[in-house]
Amino acid sequence: MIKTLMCFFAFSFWTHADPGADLLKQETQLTDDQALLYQKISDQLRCPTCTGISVRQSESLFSQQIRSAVIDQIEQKKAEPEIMQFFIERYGQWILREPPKQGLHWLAWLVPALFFSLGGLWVARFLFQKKGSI
Amino acid sequence: MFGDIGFVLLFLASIVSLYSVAASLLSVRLRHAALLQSAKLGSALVCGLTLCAALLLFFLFYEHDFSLRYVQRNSSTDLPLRYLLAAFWAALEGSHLLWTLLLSSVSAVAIWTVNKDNRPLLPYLIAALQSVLSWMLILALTYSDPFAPLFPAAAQGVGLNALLQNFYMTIHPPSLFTGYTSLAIPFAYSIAAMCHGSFTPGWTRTVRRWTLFAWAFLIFGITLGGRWAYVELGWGGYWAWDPVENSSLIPWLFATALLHTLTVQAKMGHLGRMSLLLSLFGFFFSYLGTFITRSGIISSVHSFAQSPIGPAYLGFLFFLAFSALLLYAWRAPKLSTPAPRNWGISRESSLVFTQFLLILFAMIVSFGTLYPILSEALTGERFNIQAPYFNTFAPYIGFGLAAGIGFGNLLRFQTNRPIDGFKTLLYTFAAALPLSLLYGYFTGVHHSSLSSFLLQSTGIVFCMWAFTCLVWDLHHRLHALSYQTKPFFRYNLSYIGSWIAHVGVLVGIIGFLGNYRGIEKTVTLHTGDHTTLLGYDIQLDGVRFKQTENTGLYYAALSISAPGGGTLLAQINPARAKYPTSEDWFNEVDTWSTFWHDLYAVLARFDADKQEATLQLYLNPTVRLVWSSIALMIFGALLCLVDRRYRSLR
Repeated sequence: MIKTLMCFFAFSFWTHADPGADLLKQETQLTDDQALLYQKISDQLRCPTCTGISVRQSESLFSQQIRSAVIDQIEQKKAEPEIMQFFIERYGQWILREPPKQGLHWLAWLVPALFFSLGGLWVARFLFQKKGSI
Repeated sequence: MFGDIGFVLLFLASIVSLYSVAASLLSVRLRHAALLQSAKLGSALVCGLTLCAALLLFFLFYEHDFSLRYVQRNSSTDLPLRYLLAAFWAALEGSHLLWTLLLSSVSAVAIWTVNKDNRPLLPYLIAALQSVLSWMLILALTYSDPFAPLFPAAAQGVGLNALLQNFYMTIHPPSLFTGYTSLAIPFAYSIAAMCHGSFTPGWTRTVRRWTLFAWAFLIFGITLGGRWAYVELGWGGYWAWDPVENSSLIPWLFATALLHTLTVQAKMGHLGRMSLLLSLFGFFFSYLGTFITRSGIISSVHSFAQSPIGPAYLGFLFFLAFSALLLYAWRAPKLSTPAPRNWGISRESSLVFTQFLLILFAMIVSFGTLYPILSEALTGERFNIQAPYFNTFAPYIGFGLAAGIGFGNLLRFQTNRPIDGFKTLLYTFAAALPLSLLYGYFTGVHHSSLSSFLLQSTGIVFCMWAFTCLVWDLHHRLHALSYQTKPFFRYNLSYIGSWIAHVGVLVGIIGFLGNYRGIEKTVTLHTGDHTTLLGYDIQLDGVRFKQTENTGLYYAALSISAPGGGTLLAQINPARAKYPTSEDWFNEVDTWSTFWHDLYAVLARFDADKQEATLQLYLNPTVRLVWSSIALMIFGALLCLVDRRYRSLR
């Protein structure tokens, strides 16, 4: 899987002498609606070679490749869930910036909700217990 | 040779530190005053020896002594003086020594300024602080030795990482570490209170002052880090919810909760055991954060090179957690507490609510930060959680805190009606609406979805309402004194300090909400071309070259004018820098700030021959509000620290 990606990466580097310029041209040719979708999706994909930022925020070569692929998908008139699935299939769930709400990763969303509800109940019980006096 | 002297100094310090632990604990057993005095002197000696070792390292950097591995790996002969000295804490060994130095200093100060009310706690205080210090000094001799030699000595150094060659490098680590190490004092006082068996009369006052001190330095250090990321990393933001950023935030959240628990404890004697727990957690999490970066267990922009120090830190964390919680389980129930009471809806209840929110937020941020480890254990796949997850929860915590500030200031202790009755709620809300509209007008609403717009509107109204509640409370108190401002200010410094700090928090929440809107644009220009962003006219005047002390900079000269090519408002020069000691190019971002938004420019690509530049332009709303909020919070904390009522009696 990694090898395939590396080949893809090396190949596109060879065929596009200046991928940044090509990407820029592609970005300026998007319609307004397409641009909004492009921003939304590239905000949700992480930059594989950076720490902590999205492909939209990064100028690394790998991020530019991914953004170019996003634009290709948008021009094929695919919807957002389809496009996200396209990238998850190729890179794994790891490409997402926040845990998907499926499988074990539901935990990431449940635990804060549990903290809030159980903690909140405990605090409410503590504050409104009927023992003692003011 | 000098490296050996440094090693010996640290070795002596560790011996004295271990002695102080033993002597202070023995002095309790044997009721021996001279032993305790020797432990006290020992603490001062540890501080002195560590200070000498640190000064020596500074000296060795200054002299470019490349026979030391640490100096050779983090400096070079062409480094400007300020970065040469800041290189002290550029990597693991030096930053560990800085932490040890600051911990030994605050410990010495805390131990020697114990007031007579807290005297019974002194032996346990020394034991707790010196145990941690001796462990840190032993680490500085083994896994984290800044004086390790390089043989054969090199002629030139590797140089300092270009990302660290920034003004903020000189102040961000020292202030942040001062905050972390100052949290050791409430921790030590908590251990001492549990060992002693009761809270001494001066306990709350002293712990409160130290917590305030730590709190101010922590938020200062955190903000400097954010500002540094903003100007250096070039992705347009100041807070990425990076693991190390989070691990500096979590102790601060616990310190904030602790401040509010101490308020209730000082006023009514309740929540003392909560103060103990929060002190322990705050201290624990400050070390957990350090462990995360230094062990390399979670990758971050701050990660040092992976080092075998990880297991040593992990062992310490387990030991600390285990022994502190054991002590708590054994001794805390014996601490006398006031009789249970009906809290109802009152000022102290809002304080409890605030603590709940802060602790909840700390738990969520810790969970998200440590999630990669959990997901790897459960699914075999390491999943790093990034900004969107935390940004989902942060606004609601912010709104809850604003509500806590609002209600808390309208209520009084031990009464369940707002001041001046329930109509106060109506007045304050009515006053908040025009304020919100005014704010909306000035700051402008940029591209954002409906859900984002609703989120922000709610947040702004909440914060404005909390602000009007603060104003009402101030008016109410001044009114009670017939508006004699002079005596009011003289005898209520801590109230005014906390009032200003709370305004700072509200300003910060409003400023942070700006992250949920904002526009950006990537554009390629030739010299003379214009582009617009939010009505501002931006023109490229040229792509030029400049040589500074140790870098070559290619920069794009940009002129920003009023809409329609009117008056010139600013000139900014985003640049790309090349350091001779590195192969990479680095972004040198430039910004133009007004009160309501920042225009932030990154030079992504350039061609000096063709006079062409590709720029990433960001419009970041309300960034300046965030910096202002921190200034307000720190100023408020300073006022509280200065208040005579909170100074110790000697």
